[in-house]
Amino acid sequence: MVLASGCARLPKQSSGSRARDRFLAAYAAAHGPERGVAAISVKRAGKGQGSARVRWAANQESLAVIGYVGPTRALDASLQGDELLVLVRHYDVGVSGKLRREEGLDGRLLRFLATPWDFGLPRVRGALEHAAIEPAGGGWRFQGGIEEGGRFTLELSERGEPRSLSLRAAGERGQEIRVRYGPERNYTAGRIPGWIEWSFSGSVVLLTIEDFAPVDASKIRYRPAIEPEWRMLALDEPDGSALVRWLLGIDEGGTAEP
Amino acid sequence: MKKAVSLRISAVVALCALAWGAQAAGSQPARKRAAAHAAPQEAVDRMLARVFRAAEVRSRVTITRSDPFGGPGERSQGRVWFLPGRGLRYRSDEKGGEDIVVDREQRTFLVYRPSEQVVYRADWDRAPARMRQLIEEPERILEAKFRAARERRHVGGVWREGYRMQRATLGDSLPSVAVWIAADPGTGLPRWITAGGSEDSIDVEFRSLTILPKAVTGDLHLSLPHDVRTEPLDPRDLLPGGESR
Repeated sequence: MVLASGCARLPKQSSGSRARDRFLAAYAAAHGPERGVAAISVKRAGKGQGSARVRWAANQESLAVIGYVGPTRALDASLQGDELLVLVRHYDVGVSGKLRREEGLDGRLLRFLATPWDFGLPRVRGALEHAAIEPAGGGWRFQGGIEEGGRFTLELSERGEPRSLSLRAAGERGQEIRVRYGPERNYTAGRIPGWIEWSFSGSVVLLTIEDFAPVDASKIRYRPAIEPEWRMLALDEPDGSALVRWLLGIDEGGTAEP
Repeated sequence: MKKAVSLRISAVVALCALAWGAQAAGSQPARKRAAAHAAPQEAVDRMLARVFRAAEVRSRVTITRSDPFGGPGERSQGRVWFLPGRGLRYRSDEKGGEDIVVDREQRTFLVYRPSEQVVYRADWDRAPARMRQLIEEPERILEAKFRAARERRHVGGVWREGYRMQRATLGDSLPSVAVWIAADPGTGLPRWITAGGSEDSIDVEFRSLTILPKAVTGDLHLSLPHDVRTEPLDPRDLLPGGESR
């Protein structure tokens, strides 16, 4: 989130430091809790295409997501720092626990990648402040590292709007994730891209944002009621870890399935 | 038993079917009068029996789901066919909506997405547990213990008489979901159901609900265009949100 209204039509910046300052002011400013509604579609290499609707709400490092299949609330997920909770309601199964970077699942990186237009997250903003910046294709290119999380390249249009992001997770087998940003649209909570596309290992996930608005933080529930008959797994046990990797399309080596 | 009475907001299709069952009386005026004067529990029991012991129930449905985060709700329309003991089908009327069939006899769980020209196929065992239970054991719903109380609510601009249902066995980890059901005043058949919890709520309206004397098993048959592909049902196709968010 991001943009205070009116900050969108940015003039071309004449130097890298000015472009950085302007970008941080427009796209990485502090903001309150926000919620959204979107259509999501997934194409996986050699497989079909799936689609669903999602609602989400985010407040700083925390995020809650609900997925709907047709009229049914099918999936709940939340991230609070490194604490992950996933409930697959269709199958009365869930998993919760702490994500560990050394196992290829970095909670804070996942938090940013979930809403990659939100450059105001402290860790992300800090990385942008220290990134190298150079002219590229009429716009600008940031390159740097997000702590130990990985290396990134962020490209801006000549107007200073985000166009693409490439992030390679740390480690020898670090997975590369690419993000493309669509043209910006006005929403109640400000201007953000109308669509976001993630690509990794042959999979393409497209989020088309329909609504984006401020939300009362007290309305965000990160821990939905869990019914006694549901099978809840711990993330640090093999079945729990396997379920999360399966949902994320990540294999045991930390990379997405081909 | 606990599962049978678990009126969860998450299982919308099950709620739909429960709503049919949880409604009042028959279409005869005398029956309606009798139901109106019956004890709430008795009236609800009778409604449940009427639907869950039917050969088949058909209805158009309008489903309105609230936004748990406080945004505007979302409304969708579709049709439902419920054949107790045999199967269940929900077909969305929305653009890009799905046609979902669970057929116990054919041992199949099918999800047809016209927008993708794909029908996803899985075994019966892969259908959501609540849906299978509803089909396999409708009698367990009837045997379940819950409390019903009369309650008026404002629905569609009019105050309606209905019943609020709660689980009878408190002290367990009761989901904080309240279910309210009201009959169509013209037919006595189920018309409105609302299920609300602390997180969100869902309203279902059954329009043109019909109880058939004999099941039409063809209602569970998907009529597909020739160029539709069949693919195995991978739950990730149903849950893509897990991959990106």
